[in-house]
Amino acid sequence: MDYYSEAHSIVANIAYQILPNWSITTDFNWTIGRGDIDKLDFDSMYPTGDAKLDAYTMTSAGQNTLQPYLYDVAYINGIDKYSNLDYQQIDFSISTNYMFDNGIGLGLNYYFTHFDDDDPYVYGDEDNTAQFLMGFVTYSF
Amino acid sequence: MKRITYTLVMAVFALAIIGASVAAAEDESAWYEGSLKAGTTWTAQGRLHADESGSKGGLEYNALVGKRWTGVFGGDINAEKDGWAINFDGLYRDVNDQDYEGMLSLKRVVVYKADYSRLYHRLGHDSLSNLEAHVFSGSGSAAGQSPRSGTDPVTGITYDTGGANTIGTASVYHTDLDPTNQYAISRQLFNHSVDFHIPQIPELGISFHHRYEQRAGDKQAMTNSKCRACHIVSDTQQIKEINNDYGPDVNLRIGTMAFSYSYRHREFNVDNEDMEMLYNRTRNGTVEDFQNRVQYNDRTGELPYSRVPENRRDKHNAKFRWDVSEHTTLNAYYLYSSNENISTRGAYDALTGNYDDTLRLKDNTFGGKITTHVTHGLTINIFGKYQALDNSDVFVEKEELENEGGADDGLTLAEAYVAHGADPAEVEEYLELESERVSGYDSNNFKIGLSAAWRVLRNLKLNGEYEFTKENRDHYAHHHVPESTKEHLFKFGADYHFSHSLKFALDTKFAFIDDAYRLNDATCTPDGSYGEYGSKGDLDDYYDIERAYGPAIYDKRTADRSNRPDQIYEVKFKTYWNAMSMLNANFHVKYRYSKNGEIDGRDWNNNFLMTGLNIMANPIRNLTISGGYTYMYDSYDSQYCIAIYDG
Repeated sequence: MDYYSEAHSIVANIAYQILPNWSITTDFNWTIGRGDIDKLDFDSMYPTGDAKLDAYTMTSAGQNTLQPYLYDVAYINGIDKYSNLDYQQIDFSISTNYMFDNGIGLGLNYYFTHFDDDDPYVYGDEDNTAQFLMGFVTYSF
Repeated sequence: MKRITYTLVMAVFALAIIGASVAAAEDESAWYEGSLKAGTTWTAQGRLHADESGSKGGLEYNALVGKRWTGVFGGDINAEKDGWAINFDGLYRDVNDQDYEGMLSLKRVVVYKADYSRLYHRLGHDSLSNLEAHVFSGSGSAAGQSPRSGTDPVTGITYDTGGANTIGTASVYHTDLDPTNQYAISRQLFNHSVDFHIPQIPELGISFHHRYEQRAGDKQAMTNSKCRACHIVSDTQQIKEINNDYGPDVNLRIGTMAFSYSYRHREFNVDNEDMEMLYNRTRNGTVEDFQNRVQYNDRTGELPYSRVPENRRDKHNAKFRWDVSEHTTLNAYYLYSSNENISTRGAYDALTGNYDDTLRLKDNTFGGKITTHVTHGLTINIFGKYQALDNSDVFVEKEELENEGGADDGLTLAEAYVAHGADPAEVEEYLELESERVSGYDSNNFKIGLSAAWRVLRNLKLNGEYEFTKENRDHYAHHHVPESTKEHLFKFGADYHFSHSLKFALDTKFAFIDDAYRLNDATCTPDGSYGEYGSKGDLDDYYDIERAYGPAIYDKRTADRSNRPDQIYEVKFKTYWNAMSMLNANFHVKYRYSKNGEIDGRDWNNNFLMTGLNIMANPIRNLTISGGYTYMYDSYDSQYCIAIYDG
């Protein structure tokens, strides 16, 4: 059995002091994550080699019709799909601050995040997009 | 709580503004400075599907999701006058997203520091969708074979063997009792400390530290009952877990010697919702007298699950440093810690882990290092460490159920085996589970090593290290693990400055391990085949001892397996390039290959690679641009061998 995981991450940042009292900053982050179990290959314990045999086939074969098939190791081959991890996340933010001469300042922050889940499993499809906009006033003394 | 916190924060800001205004009116000289912040956050979320209540991609720690408008309040103040100083910095974004820190200094004789933060953590909701293993589904499956025929003790749903509620023969099925709940934990962390510095004794420092951590919210609790099918049940559990750490630090310096002592006491208290579940009754199926083959089921009544033990820890840490000469320094330390599971003190209960005593893990560690500068460019370190771990032994009792009805009415499983002609000695060997369990932690470990750093040239520095580690396990035979593990670790490295603007660093590591930790007779056979694995004995005799798990599975495992390496090879390379005053870059790469070829079957191995490039530029004044790329790859190669056994 093989298991691998890999991640790519790209980051970028720009900070610019436009004026002594006015600045702007932007951040970008892009992450790609992948993972997978591979080479999980159990042979079926039973004559036809098909772990998904139905009741009627087994009845005709004269075997114990049900119980052994509950424990066929070939079912375990299916768990490689459970392990699949394939997502990407993009985060972007930009913020600016402006200070007036009297100690009053204004700020504006925008934040965007996008999560693309291409292989959902235990916790369902985690696709997500969200935006946040924060505005604030500061008073310095 | 939310309203109280909001009111408290607003009151602090109001007082700060009033205080600042009054102070400003009294004294125009700036012995203080600070700022206040107020605003609002607008939140919008899209692509969140209605049937995916657990969706949290990218927002696992964001408390604002689902709230359209929220207030933002913050501020900071720094003031200092006549030897008194006070600092405060805080930001409130949501009741579950807060950060504050502050400091109060009274002429530096007494310094009080505190910080408080609150963080929201969205947990996933396991859909349990991977827990449906049906051979047949729908109506019409063979009568009497479905483990879900009868009434589900959890849901009360009656399943039959041919009607609409027949879902087929399942080896695993599930019930989610709260399928739409969104689970999340709110974590609060409060640290504070006070330092005392007596002006007349500057060599002495005394401080007291307290750390309070609380985790509260809802989580998905799960349990599994059987038999014959595994029945996974999940439900919502309210949790409240508190960690309290506190204790003093003392530092004293006398001439060329320095002592420090630290003591920490931890209480981990749990006030979680008590979860209980009525487990499935054993299905009779093809064996009428099957009830005594389990330890508990619905006859036992509701049973607890998802319990977290409370514990207590005491940790003493003493350090000593002696500057023996201008060129030589001696460091020594001693550590004693005791971790007690105090939830085991109750009346005996094999299911909950109570056994009328305290489970305690004790750690005694001491070590030291001598550093000497042989010449201006050559430094040598000699170091060593000894550790003794001692964990409690536990005697495990087992309550044996009796059959209800049938030919073996009133007999336990062991009694029934004997009644059916099994050898009592074999029954004792394979079915007696009561025994003294000794801990795998019990061990004596030591490490010795030598390292050297040599500045060969003005711009070239070499370093090397050898380290020998040995672990001796007290109960290796009981746990089917090696008696001892020896590790030889070698490190070599070099730092080379090609110029002031171009630097390189290379580090390598090699480890060779004798008898790496493994589980002997862990699985299958050395060639990877099943061998006699899962031998069922006489299929018509349910009391053939050869069909029991011991002889059929455990005794047939002959292959040793491990997921620890016996060889490690690692190389790291870093370079830093300051191309010009407005541009610099660094590149790093780390590769590690580790394997274990001492085990049976397929070798275990691991490949790990991490590399990246970072660039920072200042093309014009007041503009900074930076960027980077990082790649990580991690792969494992191992072997599975699954036990096959049906009831």
